[in-house]
Amino acid sequence: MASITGSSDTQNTRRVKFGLNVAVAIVAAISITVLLNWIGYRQYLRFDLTATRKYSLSDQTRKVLQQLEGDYRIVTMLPPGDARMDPRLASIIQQAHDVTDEYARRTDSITVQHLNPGAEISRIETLYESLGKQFKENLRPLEEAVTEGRSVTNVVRDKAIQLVEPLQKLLEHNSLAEGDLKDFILSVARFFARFGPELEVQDEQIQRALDGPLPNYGAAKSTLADLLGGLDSGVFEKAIDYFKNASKDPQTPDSIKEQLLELVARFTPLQRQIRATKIKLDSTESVDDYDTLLRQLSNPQKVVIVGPGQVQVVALDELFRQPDQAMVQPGQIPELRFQGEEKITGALVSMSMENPPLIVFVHAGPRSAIGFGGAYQQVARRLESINFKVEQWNPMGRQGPMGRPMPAGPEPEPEPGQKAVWIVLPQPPPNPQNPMAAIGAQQVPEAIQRRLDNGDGVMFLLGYNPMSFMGGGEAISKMISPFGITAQMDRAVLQEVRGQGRQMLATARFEISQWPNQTPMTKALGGLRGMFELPSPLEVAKSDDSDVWPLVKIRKSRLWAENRLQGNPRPEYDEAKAADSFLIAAAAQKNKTRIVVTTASHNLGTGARAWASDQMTNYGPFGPGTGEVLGSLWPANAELFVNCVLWLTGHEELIAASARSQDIRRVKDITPQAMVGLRWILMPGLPIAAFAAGIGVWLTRRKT
Amino acid sequence: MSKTIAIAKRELSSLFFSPIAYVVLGLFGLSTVLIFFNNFGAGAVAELRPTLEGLIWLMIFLVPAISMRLLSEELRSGTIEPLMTAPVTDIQVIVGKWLGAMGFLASLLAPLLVLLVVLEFYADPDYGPVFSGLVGLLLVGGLYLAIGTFASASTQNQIIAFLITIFIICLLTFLMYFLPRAEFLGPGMKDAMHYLNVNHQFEDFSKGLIDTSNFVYFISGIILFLFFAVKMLESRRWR
Repeated sequence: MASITGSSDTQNTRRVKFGLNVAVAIVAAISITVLLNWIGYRQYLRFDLTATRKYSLSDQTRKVLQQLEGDYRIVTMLPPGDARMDPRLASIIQQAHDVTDEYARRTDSITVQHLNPGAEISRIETLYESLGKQFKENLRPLEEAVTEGRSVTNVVRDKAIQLVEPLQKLLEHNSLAEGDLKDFILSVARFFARFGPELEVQDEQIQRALDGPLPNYGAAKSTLADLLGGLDSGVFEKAIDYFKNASKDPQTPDSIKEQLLELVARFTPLQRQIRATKIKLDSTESVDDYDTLLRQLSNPQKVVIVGPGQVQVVALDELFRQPDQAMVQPGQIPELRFQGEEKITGALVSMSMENPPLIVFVHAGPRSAIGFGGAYQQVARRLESINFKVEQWNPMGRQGPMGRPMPAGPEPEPEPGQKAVWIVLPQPPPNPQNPMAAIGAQQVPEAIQRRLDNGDGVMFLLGYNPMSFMGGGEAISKMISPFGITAQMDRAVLQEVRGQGRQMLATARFEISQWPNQTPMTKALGGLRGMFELPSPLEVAKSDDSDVWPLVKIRKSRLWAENRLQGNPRPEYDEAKAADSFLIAAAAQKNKTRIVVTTASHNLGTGARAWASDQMTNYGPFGPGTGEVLGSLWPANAELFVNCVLWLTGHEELIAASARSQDIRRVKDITPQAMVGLRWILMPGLPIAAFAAGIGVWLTRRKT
Repeated sequence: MSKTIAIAKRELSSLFFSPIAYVVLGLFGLSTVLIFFNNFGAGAVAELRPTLEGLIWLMIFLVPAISMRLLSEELRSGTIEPLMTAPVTDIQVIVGKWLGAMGFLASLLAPLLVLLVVLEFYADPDYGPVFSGLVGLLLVGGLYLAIGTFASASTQNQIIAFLITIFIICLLTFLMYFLPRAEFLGPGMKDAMHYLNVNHQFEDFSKGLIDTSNFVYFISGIILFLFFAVKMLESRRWR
């Protein structure tokens, strides 16, 4: 018979054995689960069941992500949607979050973070601090100059307080008579008396600019420079001059003269110090990239893309396109077209570019092409936003002070290995008052031919010119004909239309919404509308060594190309010059050199607007200048220009497919009564149905 | 397999024979409708995504209420003994119980079909995300039920089973939401914790994406916790 103790030992042994067995099994199960999940995370298939494949990144984006090197971070700072938000905007924000998550899924090079700008302030500040670190070295001179400026203003304040007493004594001096001198001394004394508190206010302003994770040294510098400049020229210089002059005045008592000279002796070193500090501040260069970043980050709602040594910011309103105004039916709420993927991919590509291309606007005439007041600011800014370097060159010289013609600046030179594109704007006719212009007129074709021979890309923006054989027109024709293109710039494409009062008129304004799809430049325009005024026809000749693709074709009824517009205010339809369609813009490539030739750009005071100028690209529903904010009436103009430049630089991957087709399915109109009815039916209805089912089951069970 | 199905059928019947089931059904239906109408109106996007995302949170409390009595009741009342001596394996018992509860959970989602009809009547919803969202919801429910089955097998007390289930679910939701935001954790750990977050795994389903890694997460999680439940039941024999 087995002993009880022996049985207990056996039981314990069994328990230990079973326990160990279970422990090992559990560890094994957990390990297998972890392994399976790790494999599943690395190797996965993803199926997008949405009707428009809205979570599937485009092939272009996937290609870019595969080739991406380095670590990138995409941080969305977009507010979460709530009931108060425009539901279309809420959709855009949701899509932005979803699309950026897809980026992180596709590549290990990108991490994504979503921050709520209203709630996660400390995390946003941490991000800004890390962005600021990239500029630390570059900002050091500015930081030092600002610190020195503040210290000098404090010194001036302390010394100014000390100067109040001698000024006061001077004022109380018996020999000082009432008059201008006394009044001046009084004003100086009063200024120094209140200088301290006023300086504190300014200093607070400067401190506010410097507070925060990204100090605004630019603002601090300009406040300090203004302050020091005011002190120098507005106070000390005036006081020193006045006192010196007064001390030389024979009517000034000697005792007063002495004191005035003492004051001058005390003011002068202060003025020198102020001046030196101001000069240092003025000569310390701002860090443009940092200032641009500050400006972009001031927008609270944006997507920040941080790459190796670079930061790009895409504002919320850049994530979508405004709807095409003319396609909106009355009473309809049009969908915003999401283009976040294009913008973010574009930013990634431009950040990963080692040597961003140089784009040069070659323009003539007094008005600048880019920069403040430039005629092509909008498109230039678009190119700058993707990190391209944009410059302008006026080979015809410019108007200097007093109307004297000044020589042209040097021709921009691309760096070694840098791709360059030259945008040749229409040249004005010869101007006898500006002899430099004639020299410049020769220089343009020579310079452009050199660039073409070098393999640079060139976009010709040609305009109707009945005297096109002059002013470089022939030279430009010679440049483009080897590519198989001939521009008939002495002709203008017109269409006969019925005007008001049923009379037939000729119009030179053409709205285009159908684009050839042989090139990525126009494929991407997907239904966008463009406007071209007073275009001229292009002819294309087939050639073995060059390829030509149409970009813009006018296809309308009753079209003809008129060559006798001058002195002919009412041109009539001419069957002999008519055609079903006219090509007005084309792209061509010969060997590896690419050009784009477009017409409908003017420089002749014809009243017609150049197709890529701000007059067209920034023309919105309320007229010129409203397109950027409210949506351009002809968005295709700017898109086509930018796409052509991208193609000319060889960066087709930056030409995005058109903004995703928006298939946002919304609930149709539903009356308030219907809503109430639905609520009344469903809210009690479903619970009642459940209870009824329960009662039914209970009754059935009772019966059985 | 037939024994598993038989157990599942028996469990489903017992769930539906209980009046509490209909109370739960009614309350869940009401909650679903309330969440739905929060995002429904003229011009609103015709989708169920916000409704499903709301239901995910509701399930944190609802599913433990379904699972808490699966085995606890049997352990308390002693009916586990005949079950364990019956010619069924522990795996069949656990899986059968779980399947029965899953059947009940699936029936809870019936109100969503009614809402889908409303959506179809007033809009033209994209059914891709609807389908994937429902699949995701079932997977989340399946995982929570598996956790609940394990908790129920651990104790005779239904309330304790309920609390254990909620605790584990909260670890996988709230904790795995906040911990990845902690500064003291390395990026690898943060990624791992973010991965473990159930809501994060459900997100793709609600958008209309079917990702095999999400499936692996849920299926492996369900199997793991059912495995734990089996081991817990087995341990009764040698404890």
